[in-house]
Amino acid sequence: MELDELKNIWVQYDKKISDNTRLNKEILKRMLISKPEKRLNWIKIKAGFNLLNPIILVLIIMFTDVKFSLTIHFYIGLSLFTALFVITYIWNVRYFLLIRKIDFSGAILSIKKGIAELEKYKIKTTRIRYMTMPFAILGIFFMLIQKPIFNTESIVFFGLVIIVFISSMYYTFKYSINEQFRKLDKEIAEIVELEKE
Amino acid sequence: MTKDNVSEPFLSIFEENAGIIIKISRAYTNTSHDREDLMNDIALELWKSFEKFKGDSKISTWIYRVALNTSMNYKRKKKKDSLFYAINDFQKDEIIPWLVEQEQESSSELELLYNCIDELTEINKAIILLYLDGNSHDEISEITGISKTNVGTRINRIKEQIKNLAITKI
Repeated sequence: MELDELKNIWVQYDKKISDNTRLNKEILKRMLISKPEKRLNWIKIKAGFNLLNPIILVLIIMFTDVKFSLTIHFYIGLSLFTALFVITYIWNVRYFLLIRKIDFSGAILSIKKGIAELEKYKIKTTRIRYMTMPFAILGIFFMLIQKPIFNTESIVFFGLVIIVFISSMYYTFKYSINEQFRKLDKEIAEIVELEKE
Repeated sequence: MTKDNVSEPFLSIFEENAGIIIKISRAYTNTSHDREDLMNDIALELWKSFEKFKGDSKISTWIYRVALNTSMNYKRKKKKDSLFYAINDFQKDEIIPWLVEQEQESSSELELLYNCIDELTEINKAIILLYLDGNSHDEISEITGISKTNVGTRINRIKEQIKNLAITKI
């Protein structure tokens, strides 16, 4: 197939498209006006939920009537939990703002690179979140349990929590996150190479 | 600018350039459902960025950029929990036939050409589509962000690749 031949096929195709297609402007107009509104509402709900997270948490604590005794355990637990909660909260907001900044009218290479880097950022934060999650859980236990009780039931309970957590981490790191990371790094390297050429 | 006074000029531009969207969405998808879904996505992304379009590039350059970027991100969107999945997805029953196409037979050469294009990488696909649409090397370079010299070299390589692919597919 020679280039001239390809171009000929394409020109004919182009002509066919303009001869045989037309737009139903009314339907398109309705779709364009209604869909962004739906999407915007969804974005607002999601953003609102993220921003309201701390208030929801405080309300849950108030309504479940959990009693805390203000001991050293409680303060250690509170600082562990709050520190990790705040970091996660900031990451969520930042990720959301970065997504909104992507403008598809930019040059293809820069958009491709930007999206790959954003995905990498998301994976990186997920990885750190997974690794720090046990400390947040430990923080909750410190706040709720003042004196650890060691009996068969509590040991089985904690054992199960730890096993499930380790299995989930193993799967996520070994098969999912590392593979995605490798692909994204390769994609970014290819784009950088293309930009240099 | 309100939505209503934006929509009329936008629709005229969209109508004039609908061919670009049809051709690109066909090259980046394999089923008719995905094609319609992608066309809706492109229409939405164009509409979204229309207010920001200040005319510092040709209208066709802007349309090509948005259409190609949306198409390249389409596969990502399809993966669960990836960027834009939740905020930009269309359910099957939401796909609205705003494009009225008369039944037309697709020539076997065109099918073959699309099959060959389908085997190319995302970037090469974009380059050959832009080239077949009659864009100059300068324009392709502006749309993709690849240097002008590299565009020329790549077109020659893609041409060879398509030639070889066509031989194996016949």
